[in-house]
Amino acid sequence: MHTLSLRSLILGALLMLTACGSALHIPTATAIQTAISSSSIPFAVPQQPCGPRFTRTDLAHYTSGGNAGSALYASNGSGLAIGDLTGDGRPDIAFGNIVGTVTIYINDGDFVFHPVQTTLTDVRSLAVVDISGDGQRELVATRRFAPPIIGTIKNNVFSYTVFPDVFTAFYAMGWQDVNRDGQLDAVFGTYDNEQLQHQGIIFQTRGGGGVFVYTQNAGHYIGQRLNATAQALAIVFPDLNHDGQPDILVGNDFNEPDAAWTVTPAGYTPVTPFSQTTENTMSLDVADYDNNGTLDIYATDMKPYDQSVTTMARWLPAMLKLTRPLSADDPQYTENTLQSWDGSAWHNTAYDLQLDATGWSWSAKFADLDNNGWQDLYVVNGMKANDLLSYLPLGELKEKDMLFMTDNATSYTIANRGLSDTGSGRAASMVDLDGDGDLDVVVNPIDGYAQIYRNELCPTPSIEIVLIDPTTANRDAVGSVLTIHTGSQQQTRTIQVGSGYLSGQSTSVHFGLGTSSGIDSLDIIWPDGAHSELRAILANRIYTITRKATQ
Amino acid sequence: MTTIPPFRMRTIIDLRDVSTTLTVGVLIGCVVAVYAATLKMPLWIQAACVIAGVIPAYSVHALRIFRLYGWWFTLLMLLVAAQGFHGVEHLVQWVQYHVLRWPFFKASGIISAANAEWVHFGWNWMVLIIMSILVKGGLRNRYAWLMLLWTVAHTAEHTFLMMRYLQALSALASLGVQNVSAQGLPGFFGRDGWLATSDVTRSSFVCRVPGFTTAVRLDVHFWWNAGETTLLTLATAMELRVRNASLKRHAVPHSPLTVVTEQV
Repeated sequence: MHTLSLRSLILGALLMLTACGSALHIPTATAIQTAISSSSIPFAVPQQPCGPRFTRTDLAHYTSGGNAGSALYASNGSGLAIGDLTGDGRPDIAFGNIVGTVTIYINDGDFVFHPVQTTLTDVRSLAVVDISGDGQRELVATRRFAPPIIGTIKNNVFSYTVFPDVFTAFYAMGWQDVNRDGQLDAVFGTYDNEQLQHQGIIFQTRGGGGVFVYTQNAGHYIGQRLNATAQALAIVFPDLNHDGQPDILVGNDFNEPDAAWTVTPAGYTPVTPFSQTTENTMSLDVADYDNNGTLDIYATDMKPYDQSVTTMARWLPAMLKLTRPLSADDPQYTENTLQSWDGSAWHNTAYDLQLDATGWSWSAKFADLDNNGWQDLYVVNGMKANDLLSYLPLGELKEKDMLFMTDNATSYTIANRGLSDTGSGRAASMVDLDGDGDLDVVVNPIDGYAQIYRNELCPTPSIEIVLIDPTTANRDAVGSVLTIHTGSQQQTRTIQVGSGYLSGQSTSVHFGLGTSSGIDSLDIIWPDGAHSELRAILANRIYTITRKATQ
Repeated sequence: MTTIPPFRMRTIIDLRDVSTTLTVGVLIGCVVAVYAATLKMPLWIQAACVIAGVIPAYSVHALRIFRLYGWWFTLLMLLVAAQGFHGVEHLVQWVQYHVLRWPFFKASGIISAANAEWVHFGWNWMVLIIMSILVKGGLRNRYAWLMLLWTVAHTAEHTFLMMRYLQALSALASLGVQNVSAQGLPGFFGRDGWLATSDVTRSSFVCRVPGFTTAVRLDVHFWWNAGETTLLTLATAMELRVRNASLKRHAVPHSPLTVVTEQV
């Protein structure tokens, strides 16, 4: 185990000195048209017979919290990451672990995977990131009691080094070109309660935790501490003030208000953009759920998914222990929120859409699972805690994972489709693992086997887009915003390497097209603000779009 | 022969005839409240002591009303007074939550211990029964009928809540949990209530009607009681106005409002 030493104390002090208020050198956003080239390959032929269902496969990887139920924070589980680690064009999967070790499943195609075992334990967040923009993606992991690591796979062997210039044990992680210098930067957040439990009061004397931005500079990282405390379970980069620049949003557990900063050339400015928030934020996702061209933010919390007497009885004793005295003007509610921008302010629409209650929720993500052109919502849930839930068998709150399907984003139907597992899910992500044009689902539970759910959807028009920007070190164009237009409909996505709860995701973007056989146009806003447009694109293909250097 | 004054709305709260008893009662209540405060008893107990000081005076007042006007008026007076106090309790709760910004669990009105499911259940059935008796006894104007309808609905909601409360306690007991209350679960209306969360109403406009399915429980019951208090007051005022007008028109005292006594 890595020891947090005097070095971290000194660094903490130095970081405090460079804290909020420092000016950032953010280039002015440009609206120039940028040249691109594109190539495409058709989707693989889907398996037969097909139908609206998912087929589950349990992998050999078992995520163990040890005696997770008796160790509250171990039962928070571990993350997963998705991305092409081997450079063969297929998404691989890394499953985190707490007591056991991380396993990486290399995608051999046609839903065949082979495992690569690592020696990594005590892992929280995972992400597959091309950090230096050299085309070789790395696996980055935060660890419970040690600084993050960066690992690579070569010849089926995984090796890693400690993340340079970082000496703190972090929990949540996010990647974005925060300062728009063409290089990806990391934002890390601590989970202070766990560190306090582990280190005791010395955690504070060592400098404590908080949210930190590490900006890349010639292979080194310059840290800036944004605040001194955090219970960070999720970090995303929505454009909170709609200035075209991604900002920073950190979801905090334990009644600690979520923290947000707008990023401008003047620096990082703390903001409170929402009139209502979650109280124990477990997960954050950025998605244009209603296809209005504006990205929305979904956050999960802990709220019984129904109000039946049986469900409430299983929740009440724990709720009484967890409920904090919140006044009427406290913006925090113990329920999921879906923040939508109406042109002048953010409004929570989760309750109106009946997406406010999904149980003891962890990862939640929007994705078009049936290719109808509207993003569905998948939430994994459940809890294990011997002390808190001692009155339940094995101290476990068993809940069905929830799938909300829609064809209009104004009402959602609770569906099963084989995704309603009652295991204690933690991380979850969606990706087209077999290249057949529909999104498959990957789940990493606690005290359970890793699961992949193959989408057996019959062929329905869709496209997948992979952006490559060789003109910068942000080669995967993380932070780009893509909008497609099909007839009167539009859909918008942003490229993220992680969202939900500790869940990395592929940088390829998937659009379901409903009945359209193609799209009229694709608009790309690159991370530096430059625009590109592609017209008349046929469906059912994977497009690789490469940005050309400006003449 | 002495014609006693007609029963008016102010008769319900006009305690001048028992001012001495009232003063003494409230003073004793205050003394006990101060003593309770020195013992660091909860604020609601101290408030209850002062309120309890009013009870002897009001009992004497009610007895006098009974002797003068009979049981029907006494029952009406007691219901209006009790519902009025109950309405104030909910108003205080509303102020505690929305104005003073107290936490939800702390905003329990004046006598917070009375904010229990079985108290609400018992109270509403009592109001319904008394209201039915009053209607049978002649309280039959349009506000009275509305009040009766409102009370039936309100009591139905509390019966639903009581059923859920008992079922939840039973479910908790089956899990071996004995010391946890199921107080405060959502009912039929309001945020997270049956209308808002039922599979029957899912995705329909019914489950997201502003107020009906979005208001928190505290607000829902504030409005239930505000409606009840208002309708009862209007029904009583209208009834008394009609009866008193009738009394004026007919010289011969035949109404329960007039009692013929022998002058000594």
